[in-house]
Amino acid sequence: MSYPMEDQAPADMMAPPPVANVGEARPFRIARNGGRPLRFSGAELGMAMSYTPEIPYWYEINLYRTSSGAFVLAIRLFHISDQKTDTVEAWEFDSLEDALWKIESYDPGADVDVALKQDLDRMTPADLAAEMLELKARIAGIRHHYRSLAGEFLGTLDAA
Amino acid sequence: MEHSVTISDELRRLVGELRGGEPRNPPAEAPQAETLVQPPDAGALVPSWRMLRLWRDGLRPLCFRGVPILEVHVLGCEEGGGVAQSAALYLREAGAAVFAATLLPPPGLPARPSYRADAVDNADTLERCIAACRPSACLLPACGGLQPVAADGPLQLFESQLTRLRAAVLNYVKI
Repeated sequence: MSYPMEDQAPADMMAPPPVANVGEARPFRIARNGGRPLRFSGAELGMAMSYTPEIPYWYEINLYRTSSGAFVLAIRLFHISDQKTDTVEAWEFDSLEDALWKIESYDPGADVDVALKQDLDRMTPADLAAEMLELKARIAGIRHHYRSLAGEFLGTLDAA
Repeated sequence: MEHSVTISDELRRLVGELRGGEPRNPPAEAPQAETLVQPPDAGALVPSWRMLRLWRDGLRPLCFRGVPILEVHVLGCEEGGGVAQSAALYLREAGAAVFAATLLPPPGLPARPSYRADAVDNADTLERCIAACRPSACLLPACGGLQPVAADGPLQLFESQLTRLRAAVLNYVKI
């Protein structure tokens, strides 16, 4: 990557590189599953991301403050696979406390794809039991994954 | 692991303001179990109480004045990278105990770190806390339960250390 010379400041005067546009006021449009997009003008206050190369999905938690003083929380689930649909949930709150409470109370178990691998009418009881156990393990896995990220975000926030 | 957390200065300021007020949904207080851990006797060495903030999966940190009374740490290396785990029992100034555990999976394992901090008010609670932080409970489900814990690896070492910590707690702490 290169930059025009006139935009460059002397090395000792350069600010640290921007990180995820946190803090910059601008218009936002957050598309939500099953609802109208959430539009607002404001700034991103903080974010957390759980991307891990070995895991086929990751969560992002984004916290914004609107120009009117409200707080917007977005929780996004991204999949590496193009075959899976990413999900976005976003809410507006009057207080920061309510937004933090939502981070704690969000249940990612609802984000798990429950589609059966086989035709239900052709599945044996053993097949159904196996599907149930796998589903249970996937729900436990995604809950642990999200809660690990949420705890890290809230822990970092508490220490800030 | 390539996760990241970014906090703006504005959010730091807002959280500072929040701490100054009364939150609408305060985190649950650890129970004040009277029979849990005996406070130090009068005349005994006074613990060096300090403010502790323990990370918890999915929740805000558990904050209390206390002191660690039992700790186990495991730092190991195996093929693919290192692994670190710790578990500790804290005595709260208020007289209750807190069990905390950290599990940092080795690079290459499809799992995220796990942080736990739970109030311990009886032996059953302690058993549940220890069981929940065993690598076989909180790492392997994320791997589909297909990767066995190596018999001589650091995860197995942590399992055995947890068993020792459990025995120590049950022997020396009156619960």
